[in-house]
Amino acid sequence: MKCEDMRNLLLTDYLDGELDAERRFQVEVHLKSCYQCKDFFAEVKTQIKNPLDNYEVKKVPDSIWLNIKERIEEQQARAFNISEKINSWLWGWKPALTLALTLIIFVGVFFINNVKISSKAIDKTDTTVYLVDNEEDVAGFGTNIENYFL
Amino acid sequence: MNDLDKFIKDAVNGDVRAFEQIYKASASFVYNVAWSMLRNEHDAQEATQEVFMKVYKELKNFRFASSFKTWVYRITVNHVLNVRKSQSRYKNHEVMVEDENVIDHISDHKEQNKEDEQEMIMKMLDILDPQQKMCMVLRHLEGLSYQQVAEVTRMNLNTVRTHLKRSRELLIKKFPRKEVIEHEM
Repeated sequence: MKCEDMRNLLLTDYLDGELDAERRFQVEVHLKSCYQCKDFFAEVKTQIKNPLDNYEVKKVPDSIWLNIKERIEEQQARAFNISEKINSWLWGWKPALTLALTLIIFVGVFFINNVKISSKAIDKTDTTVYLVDNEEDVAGFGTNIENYFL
Repeated sequence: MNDLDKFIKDAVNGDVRAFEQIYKASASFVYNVAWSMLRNEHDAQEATQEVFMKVYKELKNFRFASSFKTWVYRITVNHVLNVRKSQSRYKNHEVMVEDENVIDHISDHKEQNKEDEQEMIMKMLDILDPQQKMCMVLRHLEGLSYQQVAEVTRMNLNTVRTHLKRSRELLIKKFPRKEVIEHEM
């Protein structure tokens, strides 16, 4: 393996322990014989890997959770208030609503019945008119040409 | 059903204590990724809050077939990269790095306190572009494998590898070993 290919591995998979045993062995054999690559790898380790791996993560400030908790509780309270308002409105106006609904149903039924009765009357009138029209038609035998031949 | 699954189901039903357990399990990752990428305490805290509010909101849509940890990490990476993008629209986010001095300071452990050393390491990463930096942070600071980095960032495995390679090449070029400089001089 060429030194250039070797350095690509040294900068990535070998440095990060992502190589399988066989390829790792190949790299190690190369490092033993090539001082330039060995020096390059030592530099990568001291300048990049070691400082970054020794970096200590920061402690999470307690205030973050307190703020999140407050926001969640606010959301929950808002959602609860909306459903409670709807409930209280419905229950508070229950007698009035019941009365209003009864009236609406009563008026509705009355109105529908009236409409049915008046539409039956119209049907009868239509039939009468139709029969009268037919009687007029019966007096003739169709068109003038038809009358001539008959 | 494991503990986490139970916490998720309870949290979906509005149990804040269950959600606190979920928060505790991944808060360190979310906050540290946000802090490393945004480099500002206030922004990191705000980003952490937003990520967890998103997690809380979307919890009911979480499919147990995928890893919960990966799902939270993904939300974090997306959110933080979006914040970075929106920040760069308003200000030049490039942080001034005192070039070669940075690594000299890191190597010289005895002459500085731990906090300065940590800050120097972060300054070193600031020269990378957001995608490269995200890969480096996930790999080195959070210890994720290539496969995990690829899953969390939704990048191809080879793209992750390339980002890491280029980042390290750039860092070596920008911050060569002190002894080498002295030798060359």
